Amino acid sequence: MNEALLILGMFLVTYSVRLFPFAMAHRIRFAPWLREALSYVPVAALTAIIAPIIIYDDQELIGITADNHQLWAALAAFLFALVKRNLLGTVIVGMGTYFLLRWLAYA
Amino acid sequence: MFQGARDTLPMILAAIPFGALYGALAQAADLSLWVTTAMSLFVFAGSSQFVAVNMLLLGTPGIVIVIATFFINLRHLMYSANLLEQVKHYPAPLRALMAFWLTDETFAVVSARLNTTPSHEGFHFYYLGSALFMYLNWQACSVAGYLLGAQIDDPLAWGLDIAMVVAFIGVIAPRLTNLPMWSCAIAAFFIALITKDWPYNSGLIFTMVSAIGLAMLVSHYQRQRHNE
Repeated sequence: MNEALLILGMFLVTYSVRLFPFAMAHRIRFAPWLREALSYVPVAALTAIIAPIIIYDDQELIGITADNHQLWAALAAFLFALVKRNLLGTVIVGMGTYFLLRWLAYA
Repeated sequence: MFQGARDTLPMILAAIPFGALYGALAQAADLSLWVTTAMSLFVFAGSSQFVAVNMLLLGTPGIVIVIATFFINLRHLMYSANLLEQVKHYPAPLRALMAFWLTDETFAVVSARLNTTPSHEGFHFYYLGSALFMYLNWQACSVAGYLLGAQIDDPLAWGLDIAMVVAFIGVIAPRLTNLPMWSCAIAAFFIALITKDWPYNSGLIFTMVSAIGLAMLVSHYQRQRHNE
């Protein structure tokens, strides 16, 4: 029963942060500065999420080395995305680079 | 709906090893299949589910786990605030459903969509297609991970998590059209590396707030110079 309570608690806190702005959406009007701040959220959040995954491997710093396959894959994807702005193409270039480098390293 | 689901495919690939690992960890921690599945069904937030299983294993009190969950998922507040303009015309029950299914991945996919197609005609179908696909995949993978348990050998070594990294890059790069956006991305990248070990995703929140703050400073000075 304790576990049911735990799940209920986790559900409540998670859902409330997801729901709060959506539920108030018809009543909230953000000030212009806040709207500008929110426009940076996708870039800030997604960059912050992937940066450690690119530079670290299982908590181990790999940094800028030839062995850092994910770094080179990310870089290839980034250059492609800057020019082409195509999400699917970016994923294919990035994954392709990653698995090619892995295959070369272990072949 | 189909388009939303299709565009989410790379995120689905990347979520598979995490879902499987979550199920396997829960099984190793002696949680019942019922608890493992209920957590995926009702909480539906990957990193906090991992933390919860690990904390249960250490005998952490439930209230501490709930507080940790709150901080880990606090970033969703900014996602949902960012999407507010797109959803405000929808009826409350639809908004409630969309909010329940809000994840990093669906936020990324719909952000990319809004960047190329700002008019929100059919936006909710696109969103729901992405979210439902993520949800069903997460359920399937946690159950599969639980049942297979120790038979799965380090799913993170498969390299599928790179699909999420490159997909997020595909969302970020087209938005880098001015100096404030570039400063935001570069700052977020380096601050995230420095703060990555801060507890319960507090480093992520700190990174977001400071990168956004820097971007606003840059755009403020740009405007000032423009006016001179």
